[in-house]
Amino acid sequence: MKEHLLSIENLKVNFKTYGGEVQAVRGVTFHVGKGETVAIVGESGCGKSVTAQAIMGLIPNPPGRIVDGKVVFEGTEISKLPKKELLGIRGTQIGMVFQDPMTALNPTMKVGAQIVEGFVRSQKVSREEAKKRAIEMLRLVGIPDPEQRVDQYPHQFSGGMRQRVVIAIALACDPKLVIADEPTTALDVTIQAQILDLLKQLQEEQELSVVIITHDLGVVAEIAHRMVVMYAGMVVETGTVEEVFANPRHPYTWGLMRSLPRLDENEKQRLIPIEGAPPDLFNPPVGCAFAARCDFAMEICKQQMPPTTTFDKGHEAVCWLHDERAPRIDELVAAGRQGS
Amino acid sequence: MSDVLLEVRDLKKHFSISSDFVLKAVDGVSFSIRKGETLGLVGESGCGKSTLGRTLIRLYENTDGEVLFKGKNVHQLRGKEINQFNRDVQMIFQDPQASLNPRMTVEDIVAEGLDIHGLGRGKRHERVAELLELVGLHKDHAQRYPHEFSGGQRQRIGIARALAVEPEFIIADEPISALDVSIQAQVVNLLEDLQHERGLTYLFIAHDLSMVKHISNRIGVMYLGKMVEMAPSSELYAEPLHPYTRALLSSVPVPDPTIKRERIVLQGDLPSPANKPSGCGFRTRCPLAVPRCAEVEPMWREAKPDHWVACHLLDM
Repeated sequence: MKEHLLSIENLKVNFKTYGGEVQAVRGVTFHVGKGETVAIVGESGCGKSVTAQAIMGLIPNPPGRIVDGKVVFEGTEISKLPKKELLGIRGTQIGMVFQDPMTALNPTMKVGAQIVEGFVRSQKVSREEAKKRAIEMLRLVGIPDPEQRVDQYPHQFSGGMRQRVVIAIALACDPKLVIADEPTTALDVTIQAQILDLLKQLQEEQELSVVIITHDLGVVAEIAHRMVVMYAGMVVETGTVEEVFANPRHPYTWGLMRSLPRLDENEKQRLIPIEGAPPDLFNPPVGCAFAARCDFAMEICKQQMPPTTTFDKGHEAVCWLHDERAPRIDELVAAGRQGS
Repeated sequence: MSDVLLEVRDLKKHFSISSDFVLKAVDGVSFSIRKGETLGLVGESGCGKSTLGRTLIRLYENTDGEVLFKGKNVHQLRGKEINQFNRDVQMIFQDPQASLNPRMTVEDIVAEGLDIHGLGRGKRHERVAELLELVGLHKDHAQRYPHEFSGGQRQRIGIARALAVEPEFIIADEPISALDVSIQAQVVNLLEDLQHERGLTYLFIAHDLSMVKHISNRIGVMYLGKMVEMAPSSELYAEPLHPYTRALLSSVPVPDPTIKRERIVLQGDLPSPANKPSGCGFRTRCPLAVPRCAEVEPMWREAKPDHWVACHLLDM
């Protein structure tokens, strides 16, 4: 068993709003090993970005607060650290790549200075050394003519190039962990392919651990080792990418996979959407949050939270269907409910 | 083959940025759309696909070339013909948040077209209720405001508004890009059902290639203001002829970890449409470019029946 670089245990995050308190993250547990890429998948509002912000200690407080649970990085409980000590970890040990490279960069600052901002603060290096480092980082992320580019401003870069700069910033201090929140969502497919290749290559060369947040199952299959499927602030399924894609165990994961059209489909098939919409997290349901949209929902699903069932190779699903008292799924399919 | 509903001949749409600077967003595009089909239009941001859609529906005046809808040049319509055209052709927009007026009730939004064209007299209320139910909403939703709905529901309101005037042709510009995966399938199924029931013709503009392939009969691929390839969707995916189409298809991540493909990763970025390369626009990123590509612009021609492409490699 690999050593865990990062573990999240029973994390709960609430946000106060005028309408009441939203339970954005409702007990999330997962871990990231050394040199491992873990993808968090889910739809908007499922709490995946809030989870990432909690890892970085970036939950705005107020209105947000971590109600329960902890974030442990290299044996230290970073969710309890005072701000000053957290600063020593954030940006140096943990790097972050944001979704929109335009808003993540400071438009009035040369890219070189932005790349080494954290490096200069933590290492106290001279100006020449800092610039050398910036050029080195630009070269690492595949930007041509780094010597010239280092003195340019973000508006002189294209979208894909800007995202490379954002990645360079995240990597400037040799972090052990990079958290990438939808790093390719704002990019075109041909540029997305470049950035995914770059992330993969850097991850292998630098033995980085990566947490990538995405809603695109294609991106997950392409880049991640393990995946965490989130729904309504909770983890519903987790496991290696191969396992989850080959044998998905949660009806929500089935739904996600079925609702995607495939490029390699030959016959035109009707898409099978997940009917309905996610629950209101001001007032989350008592039982399984997916029950209202689930084809297989039973009485118990609405009353009690399902237990976690473990399958092969750490593959886990949180669903009542895997209880020994539940009817078998193939029987339900035979009875006319839509299966996987 | 079935009748042509819309024909585009060498259409150009240029924007003057300053006295000596012209952005050629759409630069000589020719194709036709047949009655009852769905034509998909794909390409990266800045390739001119949205500008093309907006020029077709007269939101932009054309710079050159013509658009013939049922044989009539749409940019030269006058008076009553314009009214009729505005009924026949409708548009669904990308962002359902921005395209619905937040201060109007759903009923007023959906009925706006009815009011303008004088179609709703006496039965406005019933028509709106009917339309809402058609798109999977409830008739009681009519008195609510857009902010009370989720993204998927708002997109349904946008669809109801487009259908209110009983159009024949709908231009959908990235109608599902702002929606979650599980909701996208709901909206795509709705669009398909409506097409079957009402014999609608769609121009479906998107950058999500798997969804475009799913919904379209034929697909056009655009690059820097030009159409580079157009073919029936299964053929385009099975036998892409243009190197750009091949690269684009291979860039789409496949949701299946067991498939390890050879990916053609294009180097560099899309050149600015304001400063296009000479000859073929794609040559700066094309892995197969030859000297001729910089000198002469490739012809738009039918390489195989119903399969159009513009590339020098096929002439050799």
